[in-house]
Amino acid sequence: MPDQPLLSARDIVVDYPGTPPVRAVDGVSFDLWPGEVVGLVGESGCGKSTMARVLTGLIKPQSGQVLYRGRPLPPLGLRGRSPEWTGIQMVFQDPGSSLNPRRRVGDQVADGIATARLRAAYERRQTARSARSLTATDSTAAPPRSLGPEAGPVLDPTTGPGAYPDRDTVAAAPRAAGDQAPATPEAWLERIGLTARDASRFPRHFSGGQRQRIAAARAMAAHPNVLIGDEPISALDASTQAKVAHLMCVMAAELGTSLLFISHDLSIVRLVADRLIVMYQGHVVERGPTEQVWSDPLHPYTKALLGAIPAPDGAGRLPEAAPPGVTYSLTEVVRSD
Amino acid sequence: MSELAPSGDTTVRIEQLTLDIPVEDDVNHILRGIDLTFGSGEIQGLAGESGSGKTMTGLAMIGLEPPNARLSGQIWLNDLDLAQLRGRTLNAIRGRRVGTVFQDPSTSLHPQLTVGSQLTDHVRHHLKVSKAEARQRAVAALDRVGVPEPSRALSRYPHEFSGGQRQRVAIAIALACSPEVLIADEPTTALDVTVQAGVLRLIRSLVDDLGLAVLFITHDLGVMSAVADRVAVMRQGQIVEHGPRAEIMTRPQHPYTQALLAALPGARGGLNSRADLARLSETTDPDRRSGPTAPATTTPTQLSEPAGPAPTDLDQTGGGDA
Repeated sequence: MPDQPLLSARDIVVDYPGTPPVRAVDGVSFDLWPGEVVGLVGESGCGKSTMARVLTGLIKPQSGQVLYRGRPLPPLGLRGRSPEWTGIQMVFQDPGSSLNPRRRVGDQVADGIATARLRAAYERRQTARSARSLTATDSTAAPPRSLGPEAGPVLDPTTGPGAYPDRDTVAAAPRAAGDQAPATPEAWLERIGLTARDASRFPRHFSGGQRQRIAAARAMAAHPNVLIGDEPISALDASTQAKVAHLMCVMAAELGTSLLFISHDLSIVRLVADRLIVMYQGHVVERGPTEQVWSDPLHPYTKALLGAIPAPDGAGRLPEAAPPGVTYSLTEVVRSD
Repeated sequence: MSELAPSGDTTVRIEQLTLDIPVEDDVNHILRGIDLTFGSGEIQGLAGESGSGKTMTGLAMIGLEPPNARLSGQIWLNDLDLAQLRGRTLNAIRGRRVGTVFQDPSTSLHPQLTVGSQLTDHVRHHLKVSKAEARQRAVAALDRVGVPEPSRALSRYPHEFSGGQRQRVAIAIALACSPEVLIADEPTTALDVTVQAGVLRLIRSLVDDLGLAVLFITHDLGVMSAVADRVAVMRQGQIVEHGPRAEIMTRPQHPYTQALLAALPGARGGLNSRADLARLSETTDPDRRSGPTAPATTTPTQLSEPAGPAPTDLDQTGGGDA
């Protein structure tokens, strides 16, 4: 494991204005390590989407800090973001509103590719600069390691195929081996199961599942280190949900991208996530390896949440209903393992 | 709660229901010959993905199809053909003998009227009872669906309730005139799972205690498996498979039902591990109904009718699900 998490939330507190203000997130901390898939689950109002917005800098927390590769993430302003921070990308719930209806999907995916190219150039400059200062001081410290895609075939044709950036520290490296990121919008569309000719079509020509794949391709084309999916499959038909979730995870693994998969639907998340974080009323109440949380939930809320999922098994079993007005402890249970 | 129980046994028999909607110089075939029969004390599930026509089937039962739609076939409520009714005769049935619960209580309830007036107006209209009697029925209905402090709830507005309570209020409104039939169109889709569990239990108990006949429309086969007695699976305006819940869920015969279940976590033969996910993703994609020149995939799930226009999105309001 690398020595530092890719993305850290530290004691995040978010209030929404009102009388009295609503505390949506109350002291949430977690880390996202390179190459892992983390499921952030909970029901409406638990603060999971607010966390997505904090982690991408869309909203500024009342207190607490987001660290991306060890540096505090500046909130997003009206101007475009510096390439330094475009390694965090997001896929939203509804591709019908997150894709621009009036632009061809090929052009929208090309935006992602351009973002990756800009960041690669930026990181090359940074590396060169620190290399210069290193030779000047003759320090033994390593230059900042880039997790960016600068050596990828997309960004620098001269390096040739197969030259992936230094990934030996990335947990997902074995999964990424031998794979290449698509280099053109057409190649990205083929990667997600569409055809090259689809590049000249508009979002309205595609089904919901296809649109969400396009949104995922656009985000992945930016070669993010972190991909945040905020309910990315809940607007889709049931038969496409699992496929889109799987596609996002496979693409993330190919590029060594960490994926934070936010969802209220545990039944699919538990299949794709390495770890689960359960939120309830603005607090993390339980976290742990997926199989442990799924098969042996400790917090009463997690138990209620899992017990309420109806299984399509034909048994006619009504899910357990929580007694009306029940509230659960906000204290996180700690797993001893 | 005997005063909410309907009188006598009811059978709903939908026969060869078709619904076409003309668009420019073409016609969208929304329903292509639906046959469905269900009765008192039974939950008939109607499953399908967005665009399959399941919501339109429910709407057609209460005459709420789009005004330019062409409807044919019969919808028998005992010996009354609802498809033939218009105007006042139809209004005398809607809300009285057939109640409806929609997906999203924050849009199906009127935000500026108290729960009490929404619960008593149609009761007074349909049952011609006094204000006091209507109020008494309203309290009984709220009590039956598990809204706490029913008499105080009457003077409150929908926004003062949580999502689950609001849906319970919507169910109380549908129940207040003691209907024989309840159409529940994605009644729990907008709710959290822990809240959904309570509402599913409520609907099941209403059927068991009051003997309602329920048409339960949902895209969620997990929910379907929990409450429905019989399940009909719709695709592109047709019922492709119909049978007892356990049969459909564990021994689906139609390739489309099989494909649907194979894509679900927790289903028999469905997704239970990451390996299942990977296998699913290698199979043919049922998600292809796109652009004009996209190659028409001929999967075994394809229906054998002419390649007409893609199903319209009319059903999206009911099917889309958040």
